[in-house]
Amino acid sequence: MKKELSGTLNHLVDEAVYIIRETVVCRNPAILFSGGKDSAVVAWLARLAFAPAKVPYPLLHIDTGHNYSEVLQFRDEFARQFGFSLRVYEVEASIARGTVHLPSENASRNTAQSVTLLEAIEAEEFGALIGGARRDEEKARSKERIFSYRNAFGVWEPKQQRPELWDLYNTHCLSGDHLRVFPISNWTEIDIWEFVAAQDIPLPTLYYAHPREVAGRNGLLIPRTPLTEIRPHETTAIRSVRFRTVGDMSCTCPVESNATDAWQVLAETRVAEIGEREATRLDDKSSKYAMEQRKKVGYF
Amino acid sequence: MDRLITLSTAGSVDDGKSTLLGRLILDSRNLHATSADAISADAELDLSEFTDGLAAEREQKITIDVGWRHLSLNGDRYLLADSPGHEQYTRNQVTAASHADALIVLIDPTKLDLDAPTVRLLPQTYRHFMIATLLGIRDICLVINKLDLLADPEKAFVQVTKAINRMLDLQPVNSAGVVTTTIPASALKGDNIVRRAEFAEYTGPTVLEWLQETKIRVLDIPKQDVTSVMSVQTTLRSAGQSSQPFRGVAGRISRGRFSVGQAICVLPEKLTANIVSIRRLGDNVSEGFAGQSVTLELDRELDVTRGAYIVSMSLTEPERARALNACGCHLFWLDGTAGQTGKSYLLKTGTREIQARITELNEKFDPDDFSFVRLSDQLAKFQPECNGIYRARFRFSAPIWLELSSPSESVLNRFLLIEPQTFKTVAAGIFDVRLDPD
Repeated sequence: MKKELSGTLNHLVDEAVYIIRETVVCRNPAILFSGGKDSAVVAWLARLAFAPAKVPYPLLHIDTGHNYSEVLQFRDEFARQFGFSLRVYEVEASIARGTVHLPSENASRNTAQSVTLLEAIEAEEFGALIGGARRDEEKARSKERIFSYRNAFGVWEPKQQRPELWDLYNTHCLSGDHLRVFPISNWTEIDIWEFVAAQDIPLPTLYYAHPREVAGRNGLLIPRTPLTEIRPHETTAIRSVRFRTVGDMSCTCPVESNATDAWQVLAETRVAEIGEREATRLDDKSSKYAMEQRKKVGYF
Repeated sequence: MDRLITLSTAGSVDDGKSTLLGRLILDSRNLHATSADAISADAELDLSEFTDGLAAEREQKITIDVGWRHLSLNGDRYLLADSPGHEQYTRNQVTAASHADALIVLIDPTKLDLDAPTVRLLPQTYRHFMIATLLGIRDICLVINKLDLLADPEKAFVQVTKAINRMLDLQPVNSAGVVTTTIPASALKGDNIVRRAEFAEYTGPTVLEWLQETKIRVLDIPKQDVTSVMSVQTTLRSAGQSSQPFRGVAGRISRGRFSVGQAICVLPEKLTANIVSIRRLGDNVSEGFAGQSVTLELDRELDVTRGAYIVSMSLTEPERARALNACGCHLFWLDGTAGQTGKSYLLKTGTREIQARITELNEKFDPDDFSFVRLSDQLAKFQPECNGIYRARFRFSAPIWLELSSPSESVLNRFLLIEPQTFKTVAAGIFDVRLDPD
């Protein structure tokens, strides 16, 4: 059942719809869709932005090959149910082509996604990619514009960003370059969950509490998967957990939870003291500027 | 109606903007742990780690670009735009200020000559204050920071307050309706930021109290007697073979409200129609308000496309707004490449883009003197340069509708200037017919 949104969330939704509608003059836009909650919210907002017309953009998924199967099923079902066309580009194909070299077979493919993403942009000549990044996620993201310029190499130049005043967005870009557009820049994780709950937006089941075999390590819960290593001295147990992000299987950890629906997750999120990337991602921890470095070479 | 309030900060390099924001976050116990790695035993020394996010910023201990942060205080939520102090990043400062409902300007009294017969503020302070006023920020808080470092803080407070009052008196642009507040503080120690500190005769608010009062004021701005404006972003038609074909104009209401049955006018053509239905987030509603993204269905097939304005009939009264082929403006030049008079640029107002030329560059803001200085008649010599604020005049390739009063609050009068070959955003500004010769 649909519920009323708070004043702040109403404001954020109207802003996001406005931003999405501004992309109508961009060259060949697509919605970046990982099957995660943020991209599901963006795709949902696009439906609201264009209703009763169909969303004129495809969903673009960069498949790391390290996804939980629930996420892929969700992706296909979401596209089918809401009438999106779906483009999938696989990191595996980039590896086969020789454009991606991984340090080891099971290494995180998070960084490698950037290569595949740029290959997809070039192949389809996308001029604008609408993504679900939020400024509250991480320090480098907090510096991001709403319409963010990327050159032909996908490079983000944080010191050369276009001035962005009022709600007058510069939607132009040179041929070969592209824009990343972030309609939910000003949302927090709490806003996401309030919106998911109020609008009853479907999400992968991984986001809700389920029993899973995990091992504790440095405050993280490491799930047993084909891609994560449970060390010899570590003991595992079946615990009730949910994921706060559903990225690369090799580096995404769940948190302990009994929340079985979006309202319960919202309640838990309101009291959670830690940012979602801090306790659940192994990759951003490598350096303070890990995200900035990845973004500079074309990451989402 | 409740909405997200945006706060921005301004000051010169090392005036302690990031420290003040860090202090607000820390002392109000709303520290989000994504920033927690910055808080260590020596947190007192480096609160700026909260907001400076880029490698180059931490290396140099300065803020280069706008950083966006959420702040939740006693259940009130704010968006903070922390912005750079360096003159070379004024363009990012302008970006941040354009989004702000309220602004904190930091003043570092240790950089001022407090023994001078007439104490002067730093040029950057005058510049920031001018930017804020031109952009129509109505609530400005001047924080006299670092008072803990002075031998005679009370004298410093008195002297700086006098300098601020002189600035307000000299203000060369109309600042009617702007509310200014002066607060003596130490961001590093936390004095008068969240925690009240005993200070001479000062009985005014702390920064947090000012923020809470400001939120109430911003949300209370009277809504009566405003004309309504919506920029058309696109037109939408129902998908497939629907039994009731739908054609609507989609956009976000910038100001005022629209209701079902209301007569409206479409600009620039001045066509009229009535609103048949209003949709928001896929549902039918009877009214749409400022800030809402809606789709309006009109009672007749008009040629309404992206770039048009839907406005209430009263807006087109000749004393309110007019379609003009040329107009004066305040211009912020934001690009490293100087502008050229006579050259054609893309000009974006609302959702419309036309071509425009700078035909006159008349005056330049002088931050040392807090005034606009007349440029000589030899126009060809002058080019608008990065971080400069000018009074200029544009000619348009097609007439555009501009409002005659309160330009800083008019959504019609704001513009971006885009270089037509590189597509860089090179300038922004606000048209003001009062700058035109009579």
